This record gives sequence, structure tokens and C-alpha cells, in this order.
Amino acid sequence: MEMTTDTSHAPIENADLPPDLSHRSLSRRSVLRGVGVGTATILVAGSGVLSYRVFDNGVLDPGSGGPYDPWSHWRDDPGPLGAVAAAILAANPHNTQPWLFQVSADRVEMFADSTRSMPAVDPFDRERHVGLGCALENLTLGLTARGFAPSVALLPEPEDRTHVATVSFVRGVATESALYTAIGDRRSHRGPYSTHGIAQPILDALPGPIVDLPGVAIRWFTSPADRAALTSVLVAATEAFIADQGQSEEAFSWFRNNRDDIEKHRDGPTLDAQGLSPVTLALAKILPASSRVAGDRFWLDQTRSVHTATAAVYGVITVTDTDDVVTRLNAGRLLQRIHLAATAGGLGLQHMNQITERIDRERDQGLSATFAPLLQNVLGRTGPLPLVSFRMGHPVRAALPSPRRAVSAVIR
Amino acid sequence: MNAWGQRRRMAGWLGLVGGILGVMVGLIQATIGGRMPEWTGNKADPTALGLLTMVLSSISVLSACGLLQRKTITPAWRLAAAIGLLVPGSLCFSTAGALWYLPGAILFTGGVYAIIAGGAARTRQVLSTAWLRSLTSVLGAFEVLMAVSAGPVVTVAVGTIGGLALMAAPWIGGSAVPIAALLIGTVPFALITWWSVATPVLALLALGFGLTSFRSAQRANRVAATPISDSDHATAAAAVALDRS
Repeated sequence: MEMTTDTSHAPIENADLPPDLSHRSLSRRSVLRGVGVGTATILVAGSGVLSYRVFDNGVLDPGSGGPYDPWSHWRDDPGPLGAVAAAILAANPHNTQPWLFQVSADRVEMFADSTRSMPAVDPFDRERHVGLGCALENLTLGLTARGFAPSVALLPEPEDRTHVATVSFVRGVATESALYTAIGDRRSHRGPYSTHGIAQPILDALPGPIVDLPGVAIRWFTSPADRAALTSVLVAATEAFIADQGQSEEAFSWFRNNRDDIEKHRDGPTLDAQGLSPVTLALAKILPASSRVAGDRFWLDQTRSVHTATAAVYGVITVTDTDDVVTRLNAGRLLQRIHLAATAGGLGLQHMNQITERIDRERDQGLSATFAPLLQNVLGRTGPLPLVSFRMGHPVRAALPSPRRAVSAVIR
Repeated sequence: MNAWGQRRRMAGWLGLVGGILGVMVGLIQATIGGRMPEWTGNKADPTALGLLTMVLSSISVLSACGLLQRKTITPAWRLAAAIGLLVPGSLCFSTAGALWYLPGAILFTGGVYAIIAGGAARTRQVLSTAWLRSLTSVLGAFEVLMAVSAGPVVTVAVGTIGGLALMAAPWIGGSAVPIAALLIGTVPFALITWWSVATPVLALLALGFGLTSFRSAQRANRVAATPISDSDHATAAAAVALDRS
């Protein structure tokens, strides 16, 4: 291979060279050449900006890096800390990860992290307690798989409401259940689902036995009429949510729009986790970050055209008392079991809580109740109360993980 | 020594001081950068960025040495050295935070001195003959930049090798090899990351600029190979005399 050289055209610049004496007249050819070179330079500069955005926002490797490592290393530790590594992968509201753990030789104490609340979106901590219940379920699955027999006590200190649970354990038989195996693969599937329905026996089997979870139940919405009724309430709740500046701003404050924010916070919803097509996701990450209003419009559009339009089935977890913390924790455990079982069965699940968020917001602000009666109408005037809801179906594309704080960051 | 020579030496010394300071900044970023985030830009991976800063600063040091050590220098070498000061001087503002303010400013000043340490006509001549090739190489550097942030490893490898091939392609002699390098540098990475939009765009630009520059180079070589007349000899002799006067 030979390298080209232009020595014949390369005068030496020594100390005695004269000043520039050339005075070339402008020809059409030289002007066109100049324009061409200038355009090429601008195009290259533009592609430089493009390349930097690709580099800076991890466009070519979405859902990877330090904030996503907990999804790959949650099985590594054979002790109780490993069970905490499984717990932090649980579903939780707006990826706030509102938990803290204290690990000792025979127990894991679980606490609510009061600094990670959402007073406008979740004023009565409904979703926070459900999320803690989800983590509790993963924690017990993680302990069992590591050869510990767990025993759960909810709210062990009535005077300390942040002390959510004590999970004591003794040596037992290590059992890796299908639910445990699914922990690392569980995602919130926010993309479109295929048109295939889900057979009722599959739905019935998803929760598994729930005798250990008193006061909670699951209600499925499978018929087109039932789904249409819930869809209209979901869309209306989304509209009301984004029209409420307090809720909209609080939700937006948790959204992590670029990799620097994700690296720094390791929490919150991200573009990667929105279930977008690869091209749309790449463009969204390359282009400047969208505003809160644009993000809200996008969410409403997705709710109409993707989330509700492609839902094969809705699920609503119902309880006897929506304000009872123990019941909420049990509901969270049930929700996590359903999500893990769905994951093991190749189904996608997305949590959709805008209705209950509006119900609590109206109650907190002293507004007239709009969504509580609407949802109760859909569920039936009498009977248990709705706590959280979700949609399910067969996802058309794989979902990417959400960032997670490391175990060391949630141990106290 | 005339004004151009003095500027070249000034560029060399500034580049040397800025480059050495830059290496030290890179070392600090790589070792204790995480403990002083307010000075080092609060980076997620200070070790990798520190090493990158050291590599880029070393390029500046080499460029500065080239400016200082060579008794005579062609315009192409001088501009290459200027780029060797300006590019690291600019890029490292994003790798080393506030610690880069001083070396960055020194390198940038050195780069400007290197540019003005020669005749404008010759600078223009170099730019006109090598600009498109340089742009193609710059696109190769952009491809490497994207590749190092990609995943999985096979994508990183394809992108890095492709980017390096693209950087080299315009400067390789012959006709088949540079075109092969151009294709290796653009097509595979664009294909496996087609959904990113950015890599296909870069590939199209690189192919367009690369092929155009090859055609220009071939045309120039044909002209150079044509026997020249006595009058051309006279013109060339006059030009050389003017250069040496």
C-alpha cells in the first residue's frame, strides 16, 4: 500500500518566504467550487453534531451502561444482599424506587424512602405502597431462591409508618421458581401489542394462589365492550392529568431525557423505556429534548393510538380498603406476581394508573369527584374498590429496561 | 527569522505547554476526577475520559514538537499541526471540565498561531487540494466517535475499524484499495445500525465526498503525468524563483 504524497506541489515554508502575491480573479468555476466546498463543510459540521448526539445519548446502545447493570448482576450475590438486588428490580411508580433496606444476619428490614414521593401525582402514597409491595414480593422470591425461608411481617412498628416490612428468614431449601427466573426479564411494555387476545384460562392462572394476600383480588376486562368503557375513562384521565399543571410538572421532573441525567439519577422514566420503534427512538434521542407540553401531547397520543388501542386485556386490582397500607402492600405483591407470570408467559404488561391518580388528586385538592364514580361505574356500583390498573397483550417488540440505583445506594 | 517563523515557534511552544498541561489534566481526571466533580465536569466515567484527554493532549504535544523541530515545513504539515492543536484543544472542553480551561485556551491560541504562520495563498492552496479528503477523514473520526458508544462489541469493532478505514481511505494511493477502504468504512456500520439514522447519513456523505476526492486526485495525477512544454518549464522555474527569493 502506498501513501499519496503531493511533494511536487508542496513548497517549503521557510523563514524567507514572501507575503502572498497571488491575486486571482473570481471565475464562475471558482465560485461554484467555493460554494460546493462550503456546503460540504457545513454538511460535515452537521454530521459532527449528529455524531456527538449519538455518542452522548447512547443512541447505538440503548438501555446499557452503569444504570442498567443491576439488571445483569442481580443473581451474583448468594446472600441476603442478592435478594435486595432482586427487590430493586420490582415495578414501582414512575421509577421513583421509593425503598430503603437494612440487612442483617437473619432479616431484611424494608423502609419507604420519604424523599422519593410524588405529592401531586400520588398524594396519598397509594402507588408508593403498591410499589413497595412489588419490591417485597421480589425480595421474598430472591430469599427463597438463595436457600432462605422468608417470613413477612407488614408494618412491624405501627408508630413508624416508613418501616414497611420485616422479612425474617431461616435456612431453607433453595427454590428457583418461574417467577424468580422472570425477575431480570420483567419490563413495562409501553409499545404496541399485537391483535392476538389472551385466553381466559391463561389470565386465571396468572395470579397463582393468593391465599396469603387477604383483601385483594384481580378483575379482568376482556370483552370489547368492557375494554371500550375502561379505555374512555383512561383517555379522559390522561387529558385531565396533563391539564393539571401540578401533576404534569411533577411527572416531568422525574423524566430523564438524556444519558447524563440517567447516569446521575439512575431513576425515572426514560426515552428508552417508552416502547418506541428503533428509528423513532433514535430520532427522539438525537433531536433536542422535548418540552413538558410536547411530552404530554405525545403521552396522550400514545394513550389513544397505542396503549388503549392495542390492549388485549385490562386488569384492575381491587381491594376492600384503598387507604389501608397493609392491603396496598399485599396488592403490590399480587401485581408483581401477575407481572412476573406474564413475563414468564411471553406477555407484555404496562401499568396505567392515570385514573386512580386523578381520583386521589381530586380528593386531595377538594375537587368534585369525577373519576371515582366513572371508574366505579365501569367496575360495577357495588363490590370491591379499584386500587391500580394495567393493560396486557402480546408485545410486538422487546422492551428496554429502566435505570436502577445500585444496591449500595438503597442500603441504610 | 521572519514573522512567519516567529509565529511558528510561538505556536510550537504554546502547543507544547498546553499539551503537557493537558496530559497532566487527563491524568488527574483519570485518577482522582471522581472526587472533585466540580472541577472535572461531574463525568459519569472520569477514568475513560481522563485517558482520552491524555491521548488527545499527546497528539498536541507531537504536533507542537513538529512545529518546533522542523527547520522547514510545508503548508500541509503546518496546517496538520494546527489541527493537532485545535481539535484536542476544543474536544477536551467536554472531557475534563473546568480543569481544561487553561490548557484549552493555550492550545487554541497555539493553533491560531500555527494557522497564521504562513502565506494565505498557500494555506488556500492546501485547503483546495486536500479539503474534500480531509472532510472524508473527519467523517471517519465521527464514525469512530459513534462506534465507541455502541453495543454490542461486534458493532463497536465494525464501527471502529470502519471509521479508521474511512479516515485512511482518501490518503491511500492507487484506485482499488482506497475505494475498498471507503466501502469497508461506510457500508457495514451503516447496515448494522441502519435504524440510527445518523450512520446511514454519514455513510452517504462519506461515499459522496470520498468518491469525488478520488476522482479529483486521479485527474490531478493524470495532469501531473502529462509531459510539460518549455513554456511550462519557464513558468515553473519562475514560481520556484519567487518562492526562494
